[in-house]
Amino acid sequence: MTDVIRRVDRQSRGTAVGRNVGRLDAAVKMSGRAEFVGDLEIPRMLFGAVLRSPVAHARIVGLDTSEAERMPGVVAVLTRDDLNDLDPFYGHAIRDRPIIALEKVRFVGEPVAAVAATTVAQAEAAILHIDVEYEELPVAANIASALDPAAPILHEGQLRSGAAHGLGDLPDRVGNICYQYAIERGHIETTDASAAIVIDREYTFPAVYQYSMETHAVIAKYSGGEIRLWANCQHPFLVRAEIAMLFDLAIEQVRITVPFLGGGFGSKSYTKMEPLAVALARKAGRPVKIVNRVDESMVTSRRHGMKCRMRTTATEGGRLLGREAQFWLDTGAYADNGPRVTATAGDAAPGPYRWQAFRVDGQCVYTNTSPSGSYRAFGATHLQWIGESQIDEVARAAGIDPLDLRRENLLHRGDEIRSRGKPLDADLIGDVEKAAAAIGWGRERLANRGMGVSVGLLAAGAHPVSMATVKMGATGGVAVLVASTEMGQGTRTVMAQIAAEVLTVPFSSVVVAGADTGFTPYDRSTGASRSTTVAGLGVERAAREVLDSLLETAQEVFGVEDPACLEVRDGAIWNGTDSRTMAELVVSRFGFIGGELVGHGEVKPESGSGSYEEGPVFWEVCVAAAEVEVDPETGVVTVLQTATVADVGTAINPKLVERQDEGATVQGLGNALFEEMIFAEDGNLLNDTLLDYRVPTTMDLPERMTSIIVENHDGPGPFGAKGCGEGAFAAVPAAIVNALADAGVLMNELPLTPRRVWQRIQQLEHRSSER
Amino acid sequence: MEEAASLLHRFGDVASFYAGGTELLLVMKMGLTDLSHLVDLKRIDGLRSVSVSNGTLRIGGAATHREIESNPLVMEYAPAMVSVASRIANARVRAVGTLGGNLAFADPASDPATLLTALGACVEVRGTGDSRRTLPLEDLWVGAYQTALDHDELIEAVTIPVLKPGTSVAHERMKFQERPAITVTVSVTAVNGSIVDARVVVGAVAPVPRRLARAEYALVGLVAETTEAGVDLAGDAAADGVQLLDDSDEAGPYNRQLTRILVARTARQAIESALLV
Repeated sequence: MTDVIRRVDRQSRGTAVGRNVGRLDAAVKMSGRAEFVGDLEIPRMLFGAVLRSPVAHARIVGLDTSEAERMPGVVAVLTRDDLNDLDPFYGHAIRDRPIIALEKVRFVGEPVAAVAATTVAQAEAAILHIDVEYEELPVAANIASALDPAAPILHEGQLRSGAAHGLGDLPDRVGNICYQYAIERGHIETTDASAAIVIDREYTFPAVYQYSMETHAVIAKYSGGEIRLWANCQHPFLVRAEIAMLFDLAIEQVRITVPFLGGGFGSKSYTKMEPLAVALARKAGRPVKIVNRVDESMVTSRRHGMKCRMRTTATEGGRLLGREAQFWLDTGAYADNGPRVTATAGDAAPGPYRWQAFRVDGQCVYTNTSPSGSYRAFGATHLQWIGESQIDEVARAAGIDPLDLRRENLLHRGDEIRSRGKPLDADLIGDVEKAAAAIGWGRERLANRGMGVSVGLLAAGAHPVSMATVKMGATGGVAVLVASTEMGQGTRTVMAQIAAEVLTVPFSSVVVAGADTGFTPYDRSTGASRSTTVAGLGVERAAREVLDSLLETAQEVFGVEDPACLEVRDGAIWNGTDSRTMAELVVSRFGFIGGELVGHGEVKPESGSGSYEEGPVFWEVCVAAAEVEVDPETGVVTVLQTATVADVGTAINPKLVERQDEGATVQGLGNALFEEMIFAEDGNLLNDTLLDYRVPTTMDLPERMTSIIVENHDGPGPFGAKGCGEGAFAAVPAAIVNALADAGVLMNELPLTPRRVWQRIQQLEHRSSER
Repeated sequence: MEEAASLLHRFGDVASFYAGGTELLLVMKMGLTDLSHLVDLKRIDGLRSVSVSNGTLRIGGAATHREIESNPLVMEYAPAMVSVASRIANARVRAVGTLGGNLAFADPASDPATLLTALGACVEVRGTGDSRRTLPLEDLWVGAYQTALDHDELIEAVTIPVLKPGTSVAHERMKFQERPAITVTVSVTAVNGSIVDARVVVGAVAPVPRRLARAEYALVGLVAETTEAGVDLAGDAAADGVQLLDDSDEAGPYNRQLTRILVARTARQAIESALLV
């Protein structure tokens, strides 16, 4: 099904990098032996169940747990009354979220109480016997009602900044707007003078659920000034800092172990169920496990819905002039990662073109719905389909092939993207040409079919702070300690390849364990396509330190002054024809069959503070092409083929790169075609089961998916690598929207459900018959 | 069977029959029902058997979709049923879900319900004591998720008349979520190159699958040359006549359009196949 096109201009390689080695975790997962949080049991562990609010906005005027406390098996019931000794607010961006509802609830599904009992059934039975009295408040369930001057204000008073947003000083709250991001270049007003083509429209993007197969799960243990967590979190070190802050401990007193994650996609980034589990364990005096149901995870994290107005101007000949974008992201009742999503969306809004001027104004809005956080390629996915749809409208108005228009207007390598940010570090024209060629661009169009391309950029890498440790023992085996969480993307495999490459040892001799904040060195997070680039660089550096120690010992063994005389090859160090294996060198060093060489690798900002404003670490390329067919009688859109470009610098493991782009393509397809969380006016989520909220299956795959790997060896990561896995998500919906417009149906609202598309076709036919 | 019915009678509202459980357990998990007794029908002798006699195919109420899709008698006497059963939900659901359970749950989005209504199927119903009755499928459902069955009655079997010679059946559906948005079955009988009998049934967009008489009239009398125009008329008639589950301003026009298009397409397919024979 997948065609693979790879440029064959790679440098010669050693043992591991650039090879399609099999995944380290394949056998254990395929045989069902891999352990996830849900599989773990620890002594004296209880099970937690959470009572969640049935109303979207209300004051809690009564809370009676006495009956629940007497239920069989119940050890503890947690409510707001148990948090009086704490400052119970968390949030890495804005400290707006209490561990459990205090005086108010702000969304349907917000935890109001939690029970710890001997069995899951007992805990679930007990929460039904907690009496809560709500005094309902007016509800702002969507962006429009939250921005209304008469809207209820979700969070009164001054907002407190969280510790890990990296966005500088947060602006003050305005009504329900918790964060604003504005960027500007030139004077947009002056560009209108020469504008012959003006595209100005409003757009709607749906809230969607990340749907990782494994829901949020956590085991918490609180004992004598120490907290232990087993959690499926993507960013254990950031969660550790928040837990320490909430429970007033030193960060070293909190230890988080992360086993395999059954998918993440951003849904498990930052702090989620962990504070509630710790508070419940603290109350119970025993460890507690909480595992969400799917409907509970759907209200734990989701992608922001969005409204956007965009205006693009161009000359008659299709020279782009100016772009204005205003957008409002629905972050739900708590900010979660909303501010960062808003900034990233703002950076994606202009698109990578040679504008004379642009002005972008993004706002992050509280509503009485479940909180929105990260989801693969956030921000870029929100804006790229809109910006690229307007680029194609300009091309149609100017009578220019959309690919040609892009060739004329795209930024070149080294061009500025926004002030203070990193300049463009990729060849976008080359990338989009490859994607277009892969779907047969320029072929004559059949009726009801269309083709589209899309180009964009995603600010990737997050804060570039990651450490790694590599150890080599006396038998020559290698252990990599790195906290990137393995959530199906294959990070452990890639880290092993990097270490194996540096040390010239077989890939099979490298072991990579999971994250444990007690032992693995600090890594900011697993997300933003950063693991290979940032943490991987840490692994490379750590492995080089081990190699330096080996060379030092080899110099002594061979009696060589200049290490340049020595050659590292096949897991051994050579002095001419004489050689010692690395294991022999470790034994020589310690004079004993034991000891180990320990290398440390540190990655920090190359210059400045590494803040968002100075970033990103690299611009992830978001390029795709698609061909679609529309059935005008039913509005059903079929994606016939897609092509995506992974501009990865160097593919450490090409097959894993392809799998990343395929996965992102399929998720992008779901987001574009049918995924949508539907909230009623009263704030209730109407489709919180997988019967009503459909995620893509293998049956939804296009006939042909082409994954193109571009290797220009120009990334900041190990061996010239840069990250991948998200760009295709932003690019594919945009390419689909453009392909559908090419087939005659221009859409300004996602998802492209058959009904919505058919209604649009009716509208277009009605208009043309009126003419 | 008698014992199962009497248990239901004895425990009343807090008891339910339980066959595949693919619908019932969902409802229980969602907390929509509070049952303390489940009466398991799966191990009752004969309730899963398939037989043919007197021109009628009889499928036991507790036969699973998987058993039906792989049964040679069903393959021979009601091939459309095989193709429908093989497309229900997914392999996990088909392995445990039963035909009787599907029909008794009266989910509007049931695939077999639409097909079986078009085939003129009946259900044999058993209740407490000697109580037995046979209901045409059209009389089984009184509304979405509502049947004419008494609390202690179970579906013992589904009987499907063997198709008349010259008859072709086409079944189509469109699925935008996990469950179908619309299901359509058209059955037509051709004699000497002309359609003499037609049945058009539309489900999923409607609370219960119903025959649409005016759409059927539009098909009767069609010959090869008049098929194109005839099926479009049938589609229009179906769109006018269908009683929609969701007839809101937002959804109604599209649901009628789906009905129009899918009835026309399914009818075309059935007629082309009937006239070919």
